[in-house]
Amino acid sequence: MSRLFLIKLEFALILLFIISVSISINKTVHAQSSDINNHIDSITALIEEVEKFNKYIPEDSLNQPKAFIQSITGDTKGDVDSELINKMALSIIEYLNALETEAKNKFELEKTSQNIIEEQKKHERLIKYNSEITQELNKFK
Amino acid sequence: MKISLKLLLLCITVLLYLPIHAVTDEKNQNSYPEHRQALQLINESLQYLEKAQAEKKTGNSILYQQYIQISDIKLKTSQSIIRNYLIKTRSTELQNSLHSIKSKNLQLQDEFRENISRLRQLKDKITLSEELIYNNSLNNLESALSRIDDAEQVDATIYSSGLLTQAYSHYKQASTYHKNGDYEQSVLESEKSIELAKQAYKQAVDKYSSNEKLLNELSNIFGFNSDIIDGSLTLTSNDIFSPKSDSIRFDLYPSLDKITEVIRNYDNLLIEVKSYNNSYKSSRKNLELSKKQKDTIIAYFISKGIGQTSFIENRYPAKELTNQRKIEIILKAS
Repeated sequence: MSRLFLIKLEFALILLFIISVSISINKTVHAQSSDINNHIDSITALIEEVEKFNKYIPEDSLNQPKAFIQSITGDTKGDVDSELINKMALSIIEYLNALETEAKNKFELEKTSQNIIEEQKKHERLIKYNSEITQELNKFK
Repeated sequence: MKISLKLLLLCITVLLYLPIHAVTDEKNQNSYPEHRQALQLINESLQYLEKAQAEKKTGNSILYQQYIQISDIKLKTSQSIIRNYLIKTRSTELQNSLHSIKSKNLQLQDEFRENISRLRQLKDKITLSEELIYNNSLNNLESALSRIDDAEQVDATIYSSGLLTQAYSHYKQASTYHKNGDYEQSVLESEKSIELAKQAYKQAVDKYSSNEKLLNELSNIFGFNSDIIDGSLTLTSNDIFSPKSDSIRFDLYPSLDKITEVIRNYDNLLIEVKSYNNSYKSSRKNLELSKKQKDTIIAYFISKGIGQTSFIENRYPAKELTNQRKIEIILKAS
Protein backbone atom coordinates (compact mmCIF):
# COMPACT_ATOMS: atom_id res chain seq x y z
CA MET A 1 0.00 0.00 0.00
CA SER A 2 1.23 3.39 -0.93
CA ARG A 3 1.72 6.13 1.60
CA LEU A 4 -0.89 8.20 -0.24
CA PHE A 5 -3.41 5.46 0.20
CA LEU A 6 -2.63 5.27 3.90
CA ILE A 7 -2.96 9.04 4.23
CA LYS A 8 -6.32 8.89 2.42
CA LEU A 9 -7.43 5.99 4.57
CA GLU A 10 -6.38 7.83 7.72
CA PHE A 11 -8.20 10.92 6.52
CA ALA A 12 -11.29 8.86 5.67
CA LEU A 13 -11.23 7.20 9.09
CA ILE A 14 -10.82 10.55 10.87
CA LEU A 15 -13.70 11.92 8.79
CA LEU A 16 -15.81 8.89 9.60
CA PHE A 17 -14.98 9.26 13.28
CA ILE A 18 -15.87 12.97 13.21
CA ILE A 19 -19.20 12.19 11.43
CA SER A 20 -20.08 9.43 13.89
CA VAL A 21 -19.20 11.62 16.86
CA SER A 22 -21.36 14.41 15.40
CA ILE A 23 -24.26 12.05 14.87
CA SER A 24 -23.84 10.71 18.40
CA ILE A 25 -23.78 14.22 19.89
CA ASN A 26 -26.77 15.21 17.80
CA LYS A 27 -28.64 12.15 18.90
CA THR A 28 -27.83 12.81 22.55
CA VAL A 29 -28.89 16.44 22.30
CA HIS A 30 -32.04 15.44 20.46
CA ALA A 31 -32.76 12.73 23.00
CA GLN A 32 -32.26 15.17 25.86
CA SER A 33 -34.54 17.68 24.17
CA SER A 34 -37.17 15.00 23.62
CA ASP A 35 -36.89 13.91 27.28
CA ILE A 36 -37.41 17.47 28.46
CA ASN A 37 -40.44 17.88 26.23
CA ASN A 38 -41.91 14.69 27.62
CA HIS A 39 -41.24 15.93 31.13
CA ILE A 40 -42.97 19.23 30.37
CA ASP A 41 -46.03 17.35 29.13
CA SER A 42 -46.02 15.13 32.20
CA ILE A 43 -45.63 18.07 34.56
CA THR A 44 -48.39 20.04 32.82
CA ALA A 45 -50.75 17.06 33.01
CA LEU A 46 -49.89 16.49 36.67
CA ILE A 47 -50.45 20.15 37.53
CA GLU A 48 -53.89 19.97 35.90
CA GLU A 49 -54.69 16.80 37.82
CA VAL A 50 -53.50 18.21 41.16
CA GLU A 51 -55.41 21.45 40.60
CA LYS A 52 -58.64 19.44 40.60
CA PHE A 53 -57.94 18.74 44.27
CA ASN A 54 -56.75 22.28 44.96
CA LYS A 55 -58.48 22.55 48.34
CA TYR A 56 -56.67 19.47 49.62
CA ILE A 57 -53.09 20.67 49.06
CA PRO A 58 -51.10 23.43 50.79
CA GLU A 59 -51.49 26.89 49.36
CA ASP A 60 -48.90 27.91 46.72
CA SER A 61 -47.65 24.34 46.47
CA LEU A 62 -47.97 24.48 42.68
CA ASN A 63 -46.07 27.73 42.29
CA GLN A 64 -42.68 26.14 41.83
CA PRO A 65 -43.75 23.59 39.19
CA LYS A 66 -45.61 26.30 37.28
CA ALA A 67 -42.59 28.60 37.47
CA PHE A 68 -40.42 25.76 36.19
CA ILE A 69 -42.66 25.22 33.17
CA GLN A 70 -42.58 28.93 32.44
CA SER A 71 -38.80 29.13 32.73
CA ILE A 72 -38.22 26.03 30.65
CA THR A 73 -40.42 27.26 27.83
CA GLY A 74 -38.97 30.79 28.13
CA ASP A 75 -35.77 32.43 26.86
CA THR A 76 -33.53 31.39 29.72
CA LYS A 77 -33.63 27.77 28.60
CA GLY A 78 -30.32 27.98 26.82
CA ASP A 79 -28.39 29.17 29.86
CA VAL A 80 -28.96 26.02 31.91
CA ASP A 81 -27.42 22.59 31.72
CA SER A 82 -29.94 20.20 30.12
CA GLU A 83 -28.95 17.38 32.44
CA LEU A 84 -29.70 19.59 35.39
CA ILE A 85 -33.05 20.56 33.86
CA ASN A 86 -33.79 16.89 33.44
CA LYS A 87 -33.00 16.24 37.09
CA MET A 88 -35.12 19.15 38.16
CA ALA A 89 -38.01 17.97 35.96
CA LEU A 90 -37.81 14.52 37.48
CA SER A 91 -37.78 16.01 40.98
CA ILE A 92 -40.85 18.08 40.16
CA ILE A 93 -42.65 15.07 38.70
CA GLU A 94 -41.84 13.15 41.87
CA TYR A 95 -43.11 16.11 43.93
CA LEU A 96 -46.31 16.40 41.91
CA ASN A 97 -46.95 12.68 42.18
CA ALA A 98 -46.54 12.95 45.95
CA LEU A 99 -48.89 15.95 46.01
CA GLU A 100 -51.47 14.16 43.90
CA THR A 101 -51.37 11.12 46.18
CA GLU A 102 -51.62 13.38 49.21
CA ALA A 103 -54.55 15.32 47.75
CA LYS A 104 -56.45 12.18 46.74
CA ASN A 105 -55.87 10.62 50.13
CA LYS A 106 -56.98 13.81 51.82
CA PHE A 107 -60.10 13.81 49.67
CA GLU A 108 -60.77 10.21 50.67
CA LEU A 109 -60.13 11.11 54.30
CA GLU A 110 -62.65 13.92 54.13
CA LYS A 111 -65.14 11.63 52.45
CA THR A 112 -64.63 9.05 55.19
CA SER A 113 -65.08 11.75 57.85
CA GLN A 114 -68.30 12.81 56.16
CA ASN A 115 -69.45 9.20 56.00
CA ILE A 116 -68.72 8.80 59.70
CA ILE A 117 -70.81 11.89 60.50
CA GLU A 118 -73.67 10.53 58.41
CA GLU A 119 -73.39 7.08 59.96
CA GLN A 120 -73.36 8.65 63.43
CA LYS A 121 -76.51 10.59 62.61
CA LYS A 122 -78.04 7.39 61.31
CA HIS A 123 -76.91 5.65 64.48
CA GLU A 124 -78.65 8.25 66.64
CA ARG A 125 -81.78 8.03 64.54
CA LEU A 126 -81.82 4.25 64.79
CA ILE A 127 -81.35 4.39 68.56
CA LYS A 128 -84.25 6.84 68.77
CA TYR A 129 -86.48 4.71 66.53
CA ASN A 130 -85.60 1.56 68.44
CA SER A 131 -86.35 3.26 71.73
CA GLU A 132 -89.73 4.44 70.42
CA ILE A 133 -90.66 1.08 69.01
CA THR A 134 -89.57 -0.68 72.22
CA GLN A 135 -91.87 1.63 74.18
CA GLU A 136 -94.64 0.82 71.72
CA LEU A 137 -94.01 -2.89 72.13
CA ASN A 138 -93.97 -2.58 75.92
CA LYS A 139 -97.53 -1.25 75.76
CA PHE A 140 -98.65 -4.68 74.56
CA LYS A 141 -97.00 -6.57 77.43
CA MET B 1 -5.84 1.84 29.69
CA LYS B 2 -5.75 2.61 33.41
CA ILE B 3 -9.02 4.58 33.16
CA SER B 4 -10.79 1.74 31.31
CA LEU B 5 -9.78 -0.70 34.03
CA LYS B 6 -11.04 1.59 36.74
CA LEU B 7 -14.42 1.98 34.95
CA LEU B 8 -14.70 -1.76 34.55
CA LEU B 9 -14.06 -2.31 38.25
CA LEU B 10 -16.69 0.34 39.12
CA CYS B 11 -19.28 -1.32 36.87
CA ILE B 12 -18.62 -4.73 38.46
CA THR B 13 -18.94 -3.22 41.92
CA VAL B 14 -22.30 -1.54 41.00
CA LEU B 15 -23.62 -4.76 39.44
CA LEU B 16 -22.65 -6.69 42.57
CA TYR B 17 -24.07 -4.03 44.90
CA LEU B 18 -27.52 -3.75 43.25
CA PRO B 19 -29.02 -7.15 44.16
CA ILE B 20 -27.69 -6.97 47.74
CA HIS B 21 -29.14 -3.46 48.09
CA ALA B 22 -32.49 -4.58 46.66
CA VAL B 23 -32.76 -7.41 49.19
CA THR B 24 -31.96 -5.22 52.19
CA ASP B 25 -34.30 -2.49 50.99
CA GLU B 26 -37.13 -4.94 50.48
CA LYS B 27 -36.92 -5.92 54.16
CA ASN B 28 -36.94 -2.36 55.43
CA GLN B 29 -39.57 -1.11 53.04
CA ASN B 30 -42.09 -3.43 54.58
CA SER B 31 -42.04 -1.46 57.83
CA TYR B 32 -42.05 2.29 57.07
CA PRO B 33 -41.59 2.84 53.32
CA GLU B 34 -42.77 6.46 53.52
CA HIS B 35 -40.23 7.28 56.21
CA ARG B 36 -37.39 5.76 54.23
CA GLN B 37 -38.50 7.57 51.10
CA ALA B 38 -38.77 10.86 52.94
CA LEU B 39 -35.36 10.40 54.56
CA GLN B 40 -33.82 9.62 51.22
CA LEU B 41 -35.34 12.76 49.74
CA ILE B 42 -34.09 14.85 52.65
CA ASN B 43 -30.61 13.46 52.08
CA GLU B 44 -30.83 14.28 48.41
CA SER B 45 -32.08 17.74 49.30
CA LEU B 46 -29.06 18.25 51.56
CA GLN B 47 -26.73 17.02 48.85
CA TYR B 48 -28.14 19.57 46.42
CA LEU B 49 -27.86 22.21 49.07
CA GLU B 50 -24.20 21.39 49.47
CA LYS B 51 -23.77 21.55 45.69
CA ALA B 52 -25.52 24.93 45.71
CA GLN B 53 -23.15 26.18 48.43
CA ALA B 54 -20.19 25.01 46.34
CA GLU B 55 -21.53 26.78 43.24
CA LYS B 56 -22.10 29.92 45.30
CA LYS B 57 -18.45 29.89 46.29
CA THR B 58 -17.39 29.58 42.65
CA GLY B 59 -19.75 32.46 41.79
CA ASN B 60 -22.01 30.47 39.41
CA SER B 61 -25.29 32.00 40.45
CA ILE B 62 -27.42 30.20 37.81
CA LEU B 63 -26.31 26.75 38.92
CA TYR B 64 -26.61 27.88 42.54
CA GLN B 65 -30.25 28.83 41.91
CA GLN B 66 -30.93 25.55 40.11
CA TYR B 67 -29.46 23.44 42.89
CA ILE B 68 -31.33 25.43 45.51
CA GLN B 69 -34.60 24.84 43.62
CA ILE B 70 -33.96 21.11 43.30
CA SER B 71 -33.07 20.94 47.00
CA ASP B 72 -36.25 22.85 47.83
CA ILE B 73 -38.48 20.65 45.68
CA LYS B 74 -36.95 17.49 47.17
CA LEU B 75 -37.61 18.82 50.64
CA LYS B 76 -41.21 19.69 49.74
CA THR B 77 -41.67 16.23 48.25
CA SER B 78 -40.45 14.65 51.49
CA GLN B 79 -42.85 16.88 53.44
CA SER B 80 -45.73 15.82 51.22
CA ILE B 81 -44.82 12.16 51.71
CA ILE B 82 -44.75 12.58 55.49
CA ARG B 83 -48.08 14.44 55.42
CA ASN B 84 -49.47 11.70 53.24
CA TYR B 85 -48.26 9.12 55.75
CA LEU B 86 -50.10 10.97 58.53
CA ILE B 87 -53.21 11.22 56.35
CA LYS B 88 -53.08 7.51 55.60
CA THR B 89 -52.67 6.71 59.31
CA ARG B 90 -55.61 8.93 60.19
CA SER B 91 -57.57 7.51 57.28
CA THR B 92 -56.99 3.97 58.55
CA GLU B 93 -58.24 5.00 62.00
CA LEU B 94 -61.31 6.63 60.49
CA GLN B 95 -61.96 3.65 58.24
CA ASN B 96 -61.89 1.43 61.33
CA SER B 97 -64.30 3.78 63.12
CA LEU B 98 -66.54 3.86 60.07
CA HIS B 99 -66.50 0.09 59.86
CA SER B 100 -67.33 -0.18 63.56
CA ILE B 101 -70.23 2.29 63.43
CA LYS B 102 -71.54 0.70 60.22
CA SER B 103 -71.61 -2.71 61.81
CA LYS B 104 -73.38 -1.25 64.86
CA ASN B 105 -75.88 0.43 62.57
CA LEU B 106 -76.47 -2.83 60.76
CA GLN B 107 -77.20 -4.50 64.09
CA LEU B 108 -79.55 -1.68 65.03
CA GLN B 109 -81.24 -1.90 61.65
CA ASP B 110 -81.76 -5.63 62.12
CA GLU B 111 -83.12 -4.99 65.60
CA PHE B 112 -85.38 -2.26 64.24
CA ARG B 113 -86.69 -4.50 61.45
CA GLU B 114 -87.32 -7.29 63.93
CA ASN B 115 -89.19 -4.94 66.26
CA ILE B 116 -91.22 -3.54 63.38
CA SER B 117 -92.14 -7.04 62.37
CA ARG B 118 -93.16 -7.91 65.93
CA LEU B 119 -95.20 -4.72 66.21
CA ARG B 120 -96.97 -5.49 62.93
CA GLN B 121 -97.75 -8.99 64.09
CA LEU B 122 -99.12 -7.67 67.36
CA LYS B 123 -101.19 -5.03 65.61
CA ASP B 124 -102.51 -7.64 63.19
CA LYS B 125 -103.46 -9.83 66.11
CA ILE B 126 -105.16 -6.90 67.81
CA THR B 127 -107.02 -6.02 64.63
CA LEU B 128 -108.09 -9.64 64.31
CA SER B 129 -109.07 -9.72 67.95
CA GLU B 130 -111.03 -6.48 67.55
CA GLU B 131 -112.80 -7.95 64.55
CA LEU B 132 -113.61 -11.05 66.53
CA ILE B 133 -114.93 -9.02 69.45
CA TYR B 134 -116.94 -6.87 67.07
CA ASN B 135 -118.44 -9.92 65.38
CA ASN B 136 -119.00 -11.55 68.74
CA SER B 137 -120.76 -8.45 69.99
CA LEU B 138 -122.94 -8.30 66.89
CA ASN B 139 -123.78 -11.99 67.07
CA ASN B 140 -124.60 -11.73 70.75
CA LEU B 141 -126.90 -8.80 70.12
CA GLU B 142 -128.73 -10.75 67.43
CA SER B 143 -128.86 -13.78 69.66
CA ALA B 144 -130.22 -11.74 72.60
CA LEU B 145 -132.92 -10.21 70.41
CA SER B 146 -133.81 -13.62 69.07
CA ARG B 147 -134.07 -15.04 72.62
CA ILE B 148 -136.25 -12.13 73.68
CA ASP B 149 -138.50 -12.76 70.67
CA ASP B 150 -138.68 -16.43 71.60
CA ALA B 151 -139.66 -15.53 75.16
CA GLU B 152 -142.30 -13.11 73.89
CA GLN B 153 -143.68 -15.87 71.68
CA VAL B 154 -144.45 -17.94 74.78
CA ASP B 155 -146.08 -14.96 76.54
CA ALA B 156 -143.10 -14.21 78.74
CA THR B 157 -144.42 -10.64 78.82
CA ILE B 158 -147.24 -12.09 80.95
CA TYR B 159 -145.66 -15.02 82.74
CA SER B 160 -142.19 -13.61 83.44
CA SER B 161 -142.41 -9.94 82.69
CA GLY B 162 -139.76 -9.05 85.29
CA LEU B 163 -137.12 -11.25 83.72
CA LEU B 164 -138.07 -10.20 80.23
CA THR B 165 -137.90 -6.52 81.17
CA GLN B 166 -134.44 -7.07 82.62
CA ALA B 167 -133.38 -8.99 79.52
CA TYR B 168 -134.58 -6.19 77.30
CA SER B 169 -132.89 -3.59 79.46
CA HIS B 170 -129.55 -5.42 79.18
CA TYR B 171 -130.10 -5.79 75.45
CA LYS B 172 -130.58 -2.03 75.10
CA GLN B 173 -127.50 -1.41 77.19
CA ALA B 174 -125.50 -3.85 75.03
CA SER B 175 -126.76 -2.13 71.92
CA THR B 176 -125.61 1.25 73.23
CA TYR B 177 -122.16 -0.13 74.09
CA HIS B 178 -121.90 -1.62 70.63
CA LYS B 179 -122.77 1.67 68.98
CA ASN B 180 -120.12 3.40 71.10
CA GLY B 181 -117.52 0.83 70.05
CA ASP B 182 -117.19 -0.75 73.49
CA TYR B 183 -117.62 -4.25 72.12
CA GLU B 184 -116.33 -6.11 75.18
CA GLN B 185 -118.90 -4.47 77.44
CA SER B 186 -121.55 -5.01 74.80
CA VAL B 187 -120.74 -8.73 74.78
CA LEU B 188 -121.05 -8.88 78.58
CA GLU B 189 -124.39 -7.08 78.57
CA SER B 190 -125.83 -9.11 75.70
CA GLU B 191 -124.74 -12.32 77.44
CA LYS B 192 -126.70 -11.21 80.52
CA SER B 193 -129.64 -10.40 78.27
CA ILE B 194 -129.48 -13.84 76.63
CA GLU B 195 -129.37 -15.56 80.01
CA LEU B 196 -132.31 -13.57 81.33
CA ALA B 197 -134.30 -14.12 78.14
CA LYS B 198 -133.66 -17.84 78.43
CA GLN B 199 -134.84 -17.80 82.02
CA ALA B 200 -137.91 -15.77 81.03
CA TYR B 201 -138.65 -18.25 78.26
CA LYS B 202 -138.32 -21.22 80.60
CA GLN B 203 -140.37 -19.56 83.30
CA ALA B 204 -143.07 -18.61 80.82
CA VAL B 205 -143.20 -22.12 79.43
CA ASP B 206 -143.32 -23.58 82.95
CA LYS B 207 -146.05 -21.22 84.07
CA TYR B 208 -148.02 -21.76 80.92
CA SER B 209 -147.81 -25.53 81.39
CA SER B 210 -148.74 -25.17 85.00
CA ASN B 211 -151.74 -23.00 84.10
CA GLU B 212 -152.78 -25.45 81.42
CA LYS B 213 -152.63 -28.23 83.95
CA LEU B 214 -154.59 -26.19 86.47
CA LEU B 215 -157.11 -25.31 83.82
CA ASN B 216 -157.60 -28.98 83.04
CA GLU B 217 -158.06 -29.82 86.69
CA LEU B 218 -160.40 -26.93 87.44
CA SER B 219 -162.36 -26.74 84.21
CA ASN B 220 -165.50 -28.57 85.23
CA ILE B 221 -166.21 -27.29 88.71
CA PHE B 222 -169.79 -26.58 89.46
CA GLY B 223 -170.69 -22.90 89.77
CA PHE B 224 -167.31 -21.73 88.45
CA ASN B 225 -166.03 -20.71 85.09
CA SER B 226 -162.30 -21.14 84.63
CA ASP B 227 -160.07 -19.28 82.25
CA ILE B 228 -156.50 -18.05 81.95
CA ILE B 229 -156.47 -14.27 82.13
CA ASP B 230 -153.23 -12.32 82.07
CA GLY B 231 -151.23 -15.47 82.73
CA SER B 232 -153.19 -16.50 85.79
CA LEU B 233 -155.89 -19.06 86.15
CA THR B 234 -159.00 -17.23 87.11
CA LEU B 235 -162.06 -18.96 88.57
CA THR B 236 -165.13 -16.81 88.27
CA SER B 237 -168.44 -17.42 90.01
CA ASN B 238 -171.64 -15.46 90.41
CA ASP B 239 -173.30 -17.97 92.66
CA ILE B 240 -171.11 -18.48 95.76
CA PHE B 241 -172.99 -15.85 97.67
CA SER B 242 -176.60 -14.83 97.43
CA PRO B 243 -177.09 -11.13 96.78
CA LYS B 244 -176.28 -9.00 99.86
CA SER B 245 -175.10 -12.13 101.74
CA ASP B 246 -171.66 -13.09 102.99
CA SER B 247 -172.55 -16.74 103.63
CA ILE B 248 -171.38 -19.34 101.18
CA ARG B 249 -174.19 -21.17 99.50
CA PHE B 250 -174.27 -24.74 100.76
CA ASP B 251 -174.35 -26.31 97.26
CA LEU B 252 -171.07 -24.69 96.39
CA TYR B 253 -169.05 -26.10 99.29
CA PRO B 254 -168.10 -29.18 97.24
CA SER B 255 -166.84 -26.90 94.52
CA LEU B 256 -164.70 -24.95 96.99
CA ASP B 257 -163.46 -28.23 98.46
CA LYS B 258 -162.47 -29.42 95.01
CA ILE B 259 -160.62 -26.15 94.41
CA THR B 260 -158.88 -26.53 97.80
CA GLU B 261 -157.83 -30.04 96.91
CA VAL B 262 -156.24 -28.90 93.66
CA ILE B 263 -154.53 -25.92 95.28
CA ARG B 264 -152.97 -28.13 97.96
CA ASN B 265 -151.25 -30.17 95.23
CA TYR B 266 -149.29 -27.10 94.15
CA ASP B 267 -146.64 -25.64 96.40
CA ASN B 268 -145.97 -22.50 94.48
CA LEU B 269 -149.44 -21.10 93.99
CA LEU B 270 -150.44 -17.68 95.23
CA ILE B 271 -154.12 -17.03 95.70
CA GLU B 272 -155.91 -13.78 95.23
CA VAL B 273 -159.59 -13.48 96.04
CA LYS B 274 -161.56 -10.61 94.57
CA SER B 275 -165.19 -9.91 95.37
CA TYR B 276 -167.30 -7.54 93.28
CA ASN B 277 -170.67 -6.24 94.46
CA ASN B 278 -173.27 -3.87 93.15
CA SER B 279 -176.29 -5.04 95.17
CA TYR B 280 -176.41 -1.86 97.22
CA LYS B 281 -176.74 1.60 95.87
CA SER B 282 -174.06 2.70 98.29
CA SER B 283 -170.56 1.97 97.17
CA ARG B 284 -169.38 1.86 100.76
CA LYS B 285 -171.87 -0.89 101.56
CA ASN B 286 -170.89 -2.78 98.43
CA LEU B 287 -167.22 -2.52 99.42
CA GLU B 288 -167.96 -3.69 102.96
CA LEU B 289 -169.85 -6.67 101.57
CA SER B 290 -167.01 -7.43 99.13
CA LYS B 291 -164.52 -7.46 101.99
CA LYS B 292 -166.70 -9.76 104.08
CA GLN B 293 -167.25 -12.15 101.18
CA LYS B 294 -163.52 -12.22 100.41
CA ASP B 295 -162.66 -12.86 104.08
CA THR B 296 -165.24 -15.63 104.22
CA ILE B 297 -163.73 -17.44 101.27
CA ILE B 298 -160.15 -17.01 102.56
CA ALA B 299 -161.21 -18.23 106.01
CA TYR B 300 -162.79 -21.26 104.41
CA PHE B 301 -159.65 -22.12 102.45
CA ILE B 302 -157.49 -21.66 105.59
CA SER B 303 -159.88 -23.91 107.51
CA LYS B 304 -159.25 -26.51 104.83
CA GLY B 305 -155.48 -26.42 105.36
CA ILE B 306 -154.19 -23.79 102.95
CA GLY B 307 -151.50 -21.61 104.51
CA GLN B 308 -152.30 -18.00 105.24
CA THR B 309 -149.13 -16.91 103.43
CA SER B 310 -150.50 -18.23 100.15
CA PHE B 311 -152.97 -15.37 99.96
CA ILE B 312 -152.04 -12.09 98.42
CA GLU B 313 -154.00 -8.92 98.79
CA ASN B 314 -154.11 -6.08 96.36
CA ARG B 315 -155.85 -2.81 96.64
CA TYR B 316 -158.32 -2.09 93.88
CA PRO B 317 -160.19 1.09 93.11
CA ALA B 318 -163.63 1.09 94.71
CA LYS B 319 -165.25 1.73 91.37
CA GLU B 320 -163.81 -1.47 89.94
CA LEU B 321 -165.19 -3.66 92.71
CA THR B 322 -168.65 -2.08 92.74
CA ASN B 323 -169.71 -2.07 89.13
CA GLN B 324 -170.70 -5.75 88.95
CA ARG B 325 -171.37 -8.77 91.13
CA LYS B 326 -169.02 -11.75 91.04
CA ILE B 327 -166.28 -13.60 92.88
CA GLU B 328 -162.87 -14.21 91.35
CA ILE B 329 -160.34 -16.67 92.72
CA ILE B 330 -157.07 -16.02 90.93
CA LEU B 331 -154.33 -18.64 91.10
CA LYS B 332 -150.87 -17.39 90.25
CA ALA B 333 -147.77 -19.51 89.94
CA SER B 334 -145.04 -17.82 92.01
